[in-house]
Amino acid sequence: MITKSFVIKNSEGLHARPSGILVKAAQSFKSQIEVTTSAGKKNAKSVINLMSLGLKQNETLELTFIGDDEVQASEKITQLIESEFQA
Amino acid sequence: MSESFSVSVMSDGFCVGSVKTITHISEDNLNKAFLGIDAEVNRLQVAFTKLKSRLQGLSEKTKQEAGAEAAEIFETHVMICEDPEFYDESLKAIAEKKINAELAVVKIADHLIETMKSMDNDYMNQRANDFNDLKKQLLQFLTNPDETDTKNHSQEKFILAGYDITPSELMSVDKNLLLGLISQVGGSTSHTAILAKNLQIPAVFEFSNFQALNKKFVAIDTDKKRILLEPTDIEIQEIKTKSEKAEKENQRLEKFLNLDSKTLDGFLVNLESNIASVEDLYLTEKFNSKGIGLFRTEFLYMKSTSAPNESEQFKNYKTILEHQKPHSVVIRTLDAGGDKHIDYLKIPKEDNPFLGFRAIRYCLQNLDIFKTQIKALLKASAFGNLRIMFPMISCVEEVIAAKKITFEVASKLTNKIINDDKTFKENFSVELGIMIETPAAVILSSQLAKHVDFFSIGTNDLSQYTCAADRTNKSVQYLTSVYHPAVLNSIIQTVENSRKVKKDFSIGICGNLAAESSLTALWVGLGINHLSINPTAILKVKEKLLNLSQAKCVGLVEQIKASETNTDVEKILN
Repeated sequence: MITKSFVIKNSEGLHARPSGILVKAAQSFKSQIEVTTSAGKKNAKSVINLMSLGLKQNETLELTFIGDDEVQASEKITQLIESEFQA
Repeated sequence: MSESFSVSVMSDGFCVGSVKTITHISEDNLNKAFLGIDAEVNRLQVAFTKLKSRLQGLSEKTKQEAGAEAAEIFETHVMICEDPEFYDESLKAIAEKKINAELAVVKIADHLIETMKSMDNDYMNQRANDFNDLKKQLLQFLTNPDETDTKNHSQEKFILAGYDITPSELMSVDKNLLLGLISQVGGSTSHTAILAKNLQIPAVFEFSNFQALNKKFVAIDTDKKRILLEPTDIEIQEIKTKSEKAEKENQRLEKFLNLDSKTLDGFLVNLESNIASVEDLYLTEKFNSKGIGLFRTEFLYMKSTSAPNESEQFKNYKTILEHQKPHSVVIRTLDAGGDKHIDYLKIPKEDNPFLGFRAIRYCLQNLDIFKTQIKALLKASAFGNLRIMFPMISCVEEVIAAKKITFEVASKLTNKIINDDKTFKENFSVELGIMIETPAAVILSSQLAKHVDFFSIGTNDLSQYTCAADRTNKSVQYLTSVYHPAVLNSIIQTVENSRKVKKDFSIGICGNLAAESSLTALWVGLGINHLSINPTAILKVKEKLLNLSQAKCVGLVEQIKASETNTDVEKILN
């Protein structure tokens, strides 16, 4: 299991487009990927879950990766968030 | 006797026909039978699969008929249908609560609708409509698995009416059978409005009771912003004549679509489009316009509850610039105030909003908003041929101030010293121009021309300010004629003054006068380089242009200068 915190850098926050890109990337891995919200952990392979966090620029997103390809998954998603979703 | 109701307009046009109302599955008496967990799960899976394939079909159809930008809404809907929070949770609800598929969909969708509505974010609030739309469609598939689309067996044309017509309801109808659209609630910037405009179907909203229209004969007349219930024979004939005339005219003009917009003796006038959103690009393709003469950015600001941030603006500007490349795109900076009220800008209520705190006046005192827009524009300029235009200029100081801010933003972006035209041009291939729409700007046109790369003469405000007459006030309509010699002389003066300073100075016209084909000869005579027009009106002006010779039009200028009355002008031009 890998747990990682990300700071959202792009100025529009975790809006529809970046959420969509992130979810598509997450769905390409077998690992279970979860997002920590005020209501506990939720599936991060869901646009609805990511968008409804309403994360703005400079706010933190915490993700947990569990599964065989958890290393690759966390690397890919780190790269996406750091490149401000220029997928 | 017919009954007349005033309505608001989503998309212009005329039509008469009988109405078909959309009836929704009532959620009060959903099928209560529970067929067992496996059977209900299966029913729901089938409904989701059908819905997804329908949405994909609508997305393809919309791409063809209304443009790729307008089709994005359906792609978002497909994504929501695949989302575990909607799909998995609905299936789970069946098993956990032992409820049937209908109740499960309602339960999960309503929960998501509430979540979206409770968020402090306009974008997310709007997503509530998406879940409502998807819920309705799923219930339809569950209740009536084989008959889902608004089918019209008789092949007779009709007007579609409903409480709040959704994009999917509109796009499910065969557009060859659809005469018009009446929605009880709605909005002029809604997705449905955008689709109706791109399909060129008359559409209205704010009608008190759509149910009363079912199977009735109705006329839509957006010129008069009204619908007529059971119109008289004379009224029907009048509207039919109008709509048939418009249709014939469109067919006739098609032959000019691919011709260059040049006079007989080769003078080129760029016929460009006015647009208000990326979705409008579809019509620019349809009417084959070359370039955008006016992108009104205020709609970006009007459709949200806070000022759009830099990246959101950047995305819009980039899309438009890339789409139009290599043709130029004039993007007008925020023109709020006047009749365009935007709550969050907190422009105080004024006695004379048209003479008040609006457009560049507002921006120069709200630098955060102004700089964000300039930054987004300069960043996007790399993707096409950008011309930035400042609205409502009434003195040279405003131009100097607006340019100074532009240079400041440019310096920050490049980490270079940019403080004059020369250093700016070395770093950005962006032209800076202004709107000429106040008498002050006309009088100062030779001075103003020294400071900018181009003028665009905004004739709606110019005629309103020159004649001191509100164009929406019926009692003073005689002062708003397109032939008013004062307005035409202001335009002539502007052209002559500025070209004394800069010989080949680029001048365009936007607003109603640009689309008025009886004036095209005067513009050619004056050597106007750009006319910016609503895409649907471009071909009419092009037809006129193709039959003119500039050498012959030049003489018109002196004749107009010597005219005394509207009638004099009209005689010369017709």
